[in-house]
Amino acid sequence: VCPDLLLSHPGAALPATLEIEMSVAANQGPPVAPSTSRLSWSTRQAITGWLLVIPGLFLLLGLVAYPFFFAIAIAFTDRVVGQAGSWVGLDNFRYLAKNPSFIKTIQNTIIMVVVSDVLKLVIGLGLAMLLNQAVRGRGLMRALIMLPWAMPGFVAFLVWKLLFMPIGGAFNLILTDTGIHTEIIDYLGEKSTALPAVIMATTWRGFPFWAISFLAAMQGVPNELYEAAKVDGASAWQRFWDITLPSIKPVILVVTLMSSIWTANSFENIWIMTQGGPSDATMVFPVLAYFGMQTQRLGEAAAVSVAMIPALLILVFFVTWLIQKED
Amino acid sequence: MQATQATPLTVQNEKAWTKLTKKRGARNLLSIIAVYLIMFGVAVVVIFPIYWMFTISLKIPREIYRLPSLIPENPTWENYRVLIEEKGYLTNIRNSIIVACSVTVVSLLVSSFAAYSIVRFKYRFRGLVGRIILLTYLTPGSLLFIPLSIVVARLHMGNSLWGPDRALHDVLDPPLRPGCSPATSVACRQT
Repeated sequence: VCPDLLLSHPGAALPATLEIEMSVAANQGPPVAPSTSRLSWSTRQAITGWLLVIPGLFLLLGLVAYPFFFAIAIAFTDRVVGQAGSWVGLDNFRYLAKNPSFIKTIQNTIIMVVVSDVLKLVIGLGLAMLLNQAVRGRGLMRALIMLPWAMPGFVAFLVWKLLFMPIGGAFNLILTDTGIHTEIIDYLGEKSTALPAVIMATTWRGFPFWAISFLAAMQGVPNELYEAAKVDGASAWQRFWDITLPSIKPVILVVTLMSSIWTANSFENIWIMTQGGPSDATMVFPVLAYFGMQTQRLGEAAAVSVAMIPALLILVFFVTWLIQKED
Repeated sequence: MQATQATPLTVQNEKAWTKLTKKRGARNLLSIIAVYLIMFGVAVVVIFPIYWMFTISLKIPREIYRLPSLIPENPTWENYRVLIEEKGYLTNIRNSIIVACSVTVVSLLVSSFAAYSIVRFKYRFRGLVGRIILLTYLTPGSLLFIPLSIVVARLHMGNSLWGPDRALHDVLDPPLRPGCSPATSVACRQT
């Protein structure tokens, strides 16, 4: 298996994008060719540049910017399906603040994002360290660990639903067959186990992105640093703590940010495994908004998703600030 | 670390080096075993769920619920026959291929143009454009499906390949947005 192919996977390539796009201003254009047209070189540069970038901007405007502001506008109305509704100010948000489902949603989202981020960070760092060593079969392992990330989300979470089934599920089967736990547990149907089970599945699906991103970053750390540290008698732990971690810190920050946003917004995992149940034990923003949409009260549904914008903005600005501080 | 840069390879240094490598010999075997054990564990964690789904696909409902087992006792392809012959699987696959191909072509075209423009041409606000593209990539998807479903309903595309049921959200939007950004990055890297 070609490692280059894996490293050029869209997910793995991303962290590098940020730096590249941010350093774009420093890039110099090609040398000036003697101009034969009336327009100056820089004008022609600008025209061609804009012509090429406009289709992309246009698409983003239609598919991201317009719906984004449209959603915010809807959140301040009592819009229902078939009626545009009228301006109600903060009523939708007041309603949400009193709604126990919404409070539970906030709690669940925070728990899910924090716990799965920590798990993915530990697993991802460990695996990247492991696969960064010269061991036989690491090419195969790199390909293998991409499987959960490469398969469609709904397939991955369907798989985990099958594993957690009370009757016929693999976990119950293994536990009862080996005699570790003879009682059958309905993992996704019990309040105490539903959220941990969903977090487990989400972590399984998400860890490859972390591991591969960290691995790509670690391969960029110059070997001389490690050799010099070895000669100086630095222990493996010291080399990890003082060389590896600081070198890949920007990538860790970016990966954490993106993964947090994805996890906070993930719909498939909850929808396929629990649909937010049992009694809101796994309710999250997108599922709550989707239920709101099914009851046709679009204003309230939009308010649910708009309510998470401030938290996400803080996250985005915090991490971009950290990255810029690094530079 | 600063000291080693200038230190010449003296006899003392060489001794320390051989001592270091000798000590590693015994430890090496242990650590190699540990590494392979961990790798085996990871492989099991990754593969087992997929294996489990596959065995379930070879079982009839009675076997799943009455005689659960890690290895199917009476494997059957019946489920696959039903899927292909009775459930319109080929239509679904055709739809998926049409959607995937057209989305790929459009996003490849649009994003390679944009990436080339940002990297190769000099103009005002070029950095800003790059940042905006990045920012749209971070826009929460769950925020967009309500307005997009309204748009789809308004365009009467509700029951077509343009927006089946759960709307443009699934079909056009996610592939296009990530499509824009990673493709930009790949193009950036290559230049």
